[in-house]
Amino acid sequence: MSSSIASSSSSSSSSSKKEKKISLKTSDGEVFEVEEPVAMQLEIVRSFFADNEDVTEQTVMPLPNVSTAAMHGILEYCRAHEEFRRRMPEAAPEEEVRAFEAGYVDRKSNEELKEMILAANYLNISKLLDFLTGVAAKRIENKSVEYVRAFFGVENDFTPEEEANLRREYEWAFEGVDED
Amino acid sequence: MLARPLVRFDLKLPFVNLLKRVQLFIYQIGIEDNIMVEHFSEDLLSDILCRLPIKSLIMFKCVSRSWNSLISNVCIPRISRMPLPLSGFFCKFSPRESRMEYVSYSDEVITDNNVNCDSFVESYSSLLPSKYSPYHLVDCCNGIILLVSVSVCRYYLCNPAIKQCVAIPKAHAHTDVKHAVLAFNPHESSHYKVICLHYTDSCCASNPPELDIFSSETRKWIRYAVPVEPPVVYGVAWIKRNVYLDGMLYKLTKSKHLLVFDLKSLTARAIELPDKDEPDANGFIGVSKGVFHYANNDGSSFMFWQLDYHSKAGCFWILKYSICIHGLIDRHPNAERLYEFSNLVMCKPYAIHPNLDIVFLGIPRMIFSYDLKTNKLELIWTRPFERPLMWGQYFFYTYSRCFIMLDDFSKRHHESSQL
Repeated sequence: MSSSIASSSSSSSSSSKKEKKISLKTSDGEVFEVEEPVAMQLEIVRSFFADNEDVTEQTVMPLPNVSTAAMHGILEYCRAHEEFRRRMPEAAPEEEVRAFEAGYVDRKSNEELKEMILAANYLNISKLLDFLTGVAAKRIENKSVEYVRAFFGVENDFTPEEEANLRREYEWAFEGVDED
Repeated sequence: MLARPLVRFDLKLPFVNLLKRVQLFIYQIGIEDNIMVEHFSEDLLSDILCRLPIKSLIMFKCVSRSWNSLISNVCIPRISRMPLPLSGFFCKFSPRESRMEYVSYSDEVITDNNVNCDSFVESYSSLLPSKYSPYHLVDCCNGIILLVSVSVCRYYLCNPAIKQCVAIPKAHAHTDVKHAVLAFNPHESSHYKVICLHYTDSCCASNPPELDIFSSETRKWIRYAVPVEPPVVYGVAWIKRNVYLDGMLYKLTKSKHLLVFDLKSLTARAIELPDKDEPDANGFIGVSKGVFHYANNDGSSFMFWQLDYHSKAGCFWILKYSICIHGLIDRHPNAERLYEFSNLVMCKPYAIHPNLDIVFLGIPRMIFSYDLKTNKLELIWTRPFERPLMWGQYFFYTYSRCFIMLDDFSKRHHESSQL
């Protein structure tokens, strides 16, 4: 991993003047050059540039909480939304957005989904976070307690008696659970 | 929390710049080690959990200790702040009969008669100590049912949604069943009050009414004499149905007044009803969208009024809906059945939807829902001929499921009771 901050934006000079690009560096050192309107959907990036007027185009903003894999997923979502906005600035084509979102999330494993939620939370993209938390809720809805522990990697720290008592107390909630 | 060090790296002073870079470097190494073990924060987790159906949410209390407390302390209070959807109706057929029926209702689909009724009634009846049966339904407020054991004159609260039952300490002064009200609002707190009202009869026509109030905070019954302003209603009989809303207790009198008891200041006001000049048919009281409503049938229309309690102009009532019964029958062929008793006076407002512009109207054998926005009239409940709803709306309660645990002092303290 490099400790140098402002060294790896060599290619930005070749991009056209019209479309300003912003360089974002993920935890594993990969630098993404992102079109400004797309990058500005990341609230953490927007406020960084808004708060620091003297940063230049050469500045590479490190995002140490975001992996390269998560960044690919995030940019795919933000670019699609920027495209919708550009085509229809007044109101997003709702059906198209929904179709895109459904296809987009179907391809993600549970691990990828969780990683993207953490990234979207860190980058503060409220729209994406809202969407992804809804997807996570759908994936655990009506699943067993064991499934949910595995999903979130939560350790069961109840004693067997405590758990048995809780299950007895909320017996009604355990009826008709889906197969894992 | 983590972004701040990044902001500094372009400072002009080379030394500071270097320091900041070193700081950032160290910070990034730390992150590198942590990223794989980072867990969902409580905020993030509760954002996900609050989107779950309540059944899954309750079940996931068994995931771990931290989930148990997150769900109880964050998710359920957050969900409970949203308006509770209407889940059904409770009703009782006569003052002397303990038998109750439940009909489930949802804003989309009406489930069949009695399908869930027996199991629903059984679900909370089984929580009550069987040696004190029978129990009478006394009140239903924000998802909690207030029952009284007739034989020992002791009150019980049941929350059918989470199968909780709390026994209220017995007041020795209570030797026969009184009218009682439950004052509970999950949006305010898990505490509640049970209020017994003493009938004022002609022998004490000059005395203010007395309330026995049990508070779950003090765990005591205390008797208060509550003066009414103006005192025109002393000695006048009351009508059984009560409504609790925002620290106030509402009750109708046979003199066509609304009594409003302020449970904090322990004062009361008597307000003339908007239809005080109509014959003495009793009206309906209920709450919709957080506002107290009074409704009645004036012989040709159902009239729904909102109470403007703090009115400066001296006029407390705002007419909200006026529904012409003939118009209803003309537009909806099945509404002809409202004529069943060939007497429009038998048509009554039975309930009002807690969150939507829907009212429930009917005759003792049939209840219809009427949507004020779409003008849609639907038959939601038919009673067998031999078991009509005898006293109309006084024993007809809306029920919304509540998932807040009531404060159960009996598990923590010895019972105490002052009266």
